[in-house]
Amino acid sequence: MPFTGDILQYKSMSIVGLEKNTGKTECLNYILKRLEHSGKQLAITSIGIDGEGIDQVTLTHKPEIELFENIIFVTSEKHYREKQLDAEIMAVSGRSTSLGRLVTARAKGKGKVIFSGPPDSTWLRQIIGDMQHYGVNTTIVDGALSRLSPGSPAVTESMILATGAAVSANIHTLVRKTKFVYGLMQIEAFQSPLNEKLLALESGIYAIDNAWNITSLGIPSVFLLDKYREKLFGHGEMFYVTGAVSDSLLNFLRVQKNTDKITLIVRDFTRMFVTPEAYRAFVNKGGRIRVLLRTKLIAVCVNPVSPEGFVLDSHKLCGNMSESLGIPVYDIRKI
Amino acid sequence: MASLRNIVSMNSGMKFMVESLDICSAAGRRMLLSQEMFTGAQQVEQELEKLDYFVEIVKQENQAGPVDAIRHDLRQLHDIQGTLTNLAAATVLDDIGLFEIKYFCLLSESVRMNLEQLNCHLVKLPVLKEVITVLDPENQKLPQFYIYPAYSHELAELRKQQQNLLAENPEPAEVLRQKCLAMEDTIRQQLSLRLFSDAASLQLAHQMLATLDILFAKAFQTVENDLHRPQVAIESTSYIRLFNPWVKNMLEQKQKAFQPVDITIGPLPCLVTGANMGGKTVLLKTVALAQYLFQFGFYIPAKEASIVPVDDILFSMGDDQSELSGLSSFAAEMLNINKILLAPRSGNKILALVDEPARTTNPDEGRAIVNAIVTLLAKSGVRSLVTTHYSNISATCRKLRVKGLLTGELKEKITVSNINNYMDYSLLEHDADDVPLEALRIASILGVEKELTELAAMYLKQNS
Repeated sequence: MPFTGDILQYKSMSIVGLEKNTGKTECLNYILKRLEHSGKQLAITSIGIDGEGIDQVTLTHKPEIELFENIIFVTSEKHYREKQLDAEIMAVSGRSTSLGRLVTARAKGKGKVIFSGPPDSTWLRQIIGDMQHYGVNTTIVDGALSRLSPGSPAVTESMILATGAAVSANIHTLVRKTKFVYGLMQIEAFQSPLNEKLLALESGIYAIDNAWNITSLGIPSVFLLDKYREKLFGHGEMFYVTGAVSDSLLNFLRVQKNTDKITLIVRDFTRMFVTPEAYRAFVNKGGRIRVLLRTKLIAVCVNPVSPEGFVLDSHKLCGNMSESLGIPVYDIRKI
Repeated sequence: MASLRNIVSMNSGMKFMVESLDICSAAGRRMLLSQEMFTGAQQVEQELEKLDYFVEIVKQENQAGPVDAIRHDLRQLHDIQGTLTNLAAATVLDDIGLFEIKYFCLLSESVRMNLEQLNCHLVKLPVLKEVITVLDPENQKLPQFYIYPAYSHELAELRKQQQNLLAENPEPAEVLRQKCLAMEDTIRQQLSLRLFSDAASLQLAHQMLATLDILFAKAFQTVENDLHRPQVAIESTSYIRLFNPWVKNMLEQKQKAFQPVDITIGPLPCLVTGANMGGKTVLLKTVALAQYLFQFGFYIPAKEASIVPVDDILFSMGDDQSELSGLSSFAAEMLNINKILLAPRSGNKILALVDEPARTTNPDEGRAIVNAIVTLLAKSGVRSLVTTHYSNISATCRKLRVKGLLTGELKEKITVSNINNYMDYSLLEHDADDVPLEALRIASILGVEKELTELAAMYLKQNS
């Protein structure tokens, strides 16, 4: 079966949707079905509130997640009480989410569960870490809404990207938008002896000179760049931005004389909050972008059905997408 | 009566001490912060005796194993007060509640075993083995819970049938599931009813574990910070080598040392004079801190301490947010002092700490006000420390003076950064009515314009 075997090579894997209703949940159900008899201990959780029976925004039906016996799952108290299977509680968190504390449990039979996991990546990372105590081989994370954050390699080792008609009804546009995000995931890794040090930095913007010296530029965030423009250059043309990269940063760097000498380093692709236009303009002028952590993309899955009900030609969609991205693309309903 | 939570929010020294306590559990922290100040001598003594016992345990190296094990368990302790309250109110608990109780009991039993190893007779945890048996029908001794098939043979069978039907016949499977749920509910009712009889033991264990957590944290703090056992006194409060852990910590970060001081506070008010930067305010704050620590059952940052318990500690520190209440600093201060003077009338035994009263008004009236305050404090027998720069205070009181800046030949020039090394913060009995005149010297050390200090010196000469 395509790609499900790859998942077991990683400690953690997230399924991230480019939009709501891109078939994340179906993709997850597909994967769980394939992994039921893998012989490995699996765990599953989600980030934020997700998996409601009825989608809160578009009121379309959303399949619940079907678990099999022995899988470990983490969900909020509220949804734990609504579970449709027997499960043995193994831990209850000290902290609370908006839907109550998080319950870690082992499924004692088959049945459906609604997922609402930790609201932030830090907590999610802790949960993935805790799963080792229970002998878990791979933890699967259901990403919420259209957030890419759980796909960060700092949170999960690998990811599956779900895209589909919900993104655009036009195959061409859908492929183009997916390709852009795919392109961000393919940003080259920054090769240096500094990576560990850079990863430890939590806020601010840093310059790296030719002798691998890291200098804090005293700029708290790229959103405050306007106030600190004069501080940017002076320690070389290689920058590490700890937080998000925005269009305004790219545009600012693009209009400089030395754009072709600039290297911008980010933690990983989830920090790129940029439009395709700004990104392309920066890269076309010779600017380089590198990531400290590169994402391991296991597969791209498409859902040809849009929440409004129209259906794209699955064969054509997969073909075009696969050709454009240069990797296999799967329609979850067909494989 | 003020809880520790209130006091911590107002007193930075206490805040430092409480924050540096290594409390393991949320239950312990909640219990500690909601504690109220002990005011009776007997209560304080009892509290200190408990701590004595734990300080001894912590000091013995061969006990480190069980102590570490207990603290490790306490770190895993959840605050299940809500669930216990529900249980005591005869509410039916859900799986999460039952899990919490089972988890709690396993932990409590583990702590109890380790306490036995320590031969601890002071904190005795109730035996909760039976509760565990009720919630562990498969005898796994694991911190996990669900309505086990072992609770009901019928339920186990129904569950099997339901699972077999699930894939092919979802509708009958759903009917069976509903049946299972109803049976599970009945079992939960029975379990809750059974556990109801243990509600009091569970509550007690919860409290005991929180108490244990606090006592261990206090004991470790005592040993690590070189705190000492205070004696409960009736007549006078006295300290030998009293220090302020908060200020000491800040000084040590700058490679400086804190000079401990000796002080006795009897029934007569103590009037403390001395140079600026002579540590008078720190002295007041340290005395307040030591009194609070004592009355919350801590050991004291002093080599020796005997302390008279009081009902309340009242301050006039001159750092009130008077702007916010629309009062001038003088007005705010006077109202505060008024409170202090009124307190003994309600029969409360208080410790009053008054920092430079009437310093913001003209010195003639100021001096008169200080005289009056001290007289009234003496009259009502309020244990008090009053600092001042005014000379000629003739009211009946004990007078102390900060030794102050060293004089004579010095190795180096005194500056703001090394003044600490040349200031002797110790207190002397001082019978005369004069006060040390060191303000100009301190000002020039601070590096203010020479013109200013020279002119001031000239005026001083003229006046005298």
